[in-house]
Amino acid sequence: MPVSELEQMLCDSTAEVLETMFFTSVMGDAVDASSETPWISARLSFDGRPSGRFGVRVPLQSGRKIAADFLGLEADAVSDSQIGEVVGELCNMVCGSVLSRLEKDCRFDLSHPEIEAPDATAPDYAARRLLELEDGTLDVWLELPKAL
Amino acid sequence: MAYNVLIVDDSPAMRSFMRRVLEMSGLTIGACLEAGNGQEALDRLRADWVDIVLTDLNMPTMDGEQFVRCMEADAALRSIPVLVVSTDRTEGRVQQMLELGAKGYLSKPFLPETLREEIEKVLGVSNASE
Repeated sequence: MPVSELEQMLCDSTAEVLETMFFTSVMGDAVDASSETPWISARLSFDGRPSGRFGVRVPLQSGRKIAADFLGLEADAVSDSQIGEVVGELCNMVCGSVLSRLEKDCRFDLSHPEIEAPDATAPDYAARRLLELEDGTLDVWLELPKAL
Repeated sequence: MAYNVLIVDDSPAMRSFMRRVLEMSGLTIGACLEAGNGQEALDRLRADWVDIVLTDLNMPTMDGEQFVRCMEADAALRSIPVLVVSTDRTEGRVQQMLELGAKGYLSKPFLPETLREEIEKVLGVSNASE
């Protein structure tokens, strides 16, 4: 499958999940997020046909806003652990959406999302989209076997 | 009528979200209990009666599939309706859980009103808050 198709799936799935359950939207592609630090990252692995890894990465301030929207709290009332839980849940849901678009009849087993420390870097990936949200940036990536 | 609900999910954030959506749904909710996995949920159900269980599938200790199997095997619990709420939306998985005894299946992401509709369907009521 062409990388461009995978990247479109990442975008479509992220938009679906954010608009449905996080009450925010994808505005388009982000141009440059290098100045936004620190970042928080969640990644998981999935087993099926194909197997691979999936992750999301957000600047901590964007993660705080996403968590606040999800939990129905004010941003300054959200703890760091809640940000991690919500970013993990976002990772889980976007991955489920991507996989259902990739292979809708194949069952996948997803590992629990692992939260990584701020300033985590994005790994090597097969497809990646850096998206601009209403309040920040979201980096989404998918790692698949090269044969796909 | 107020409905007692048990939310089973290993993510505290997801349990908070579900509780919030239930509060916004217009359904009259009585007790809203929580459990972090299937085993905790079984322990809660043996102590407290609920009208419906909302359960995730992918959980540590006891996953949602095993939890539903245990409920079906327990004469005291099998009459409590279960709505599965999961990111897994494959047709085979949905069919499997319904055959095991779940009364409904809702895939994430979902709109708040869809959760209400599914709960009403599982409970066999309509426009419960009206």
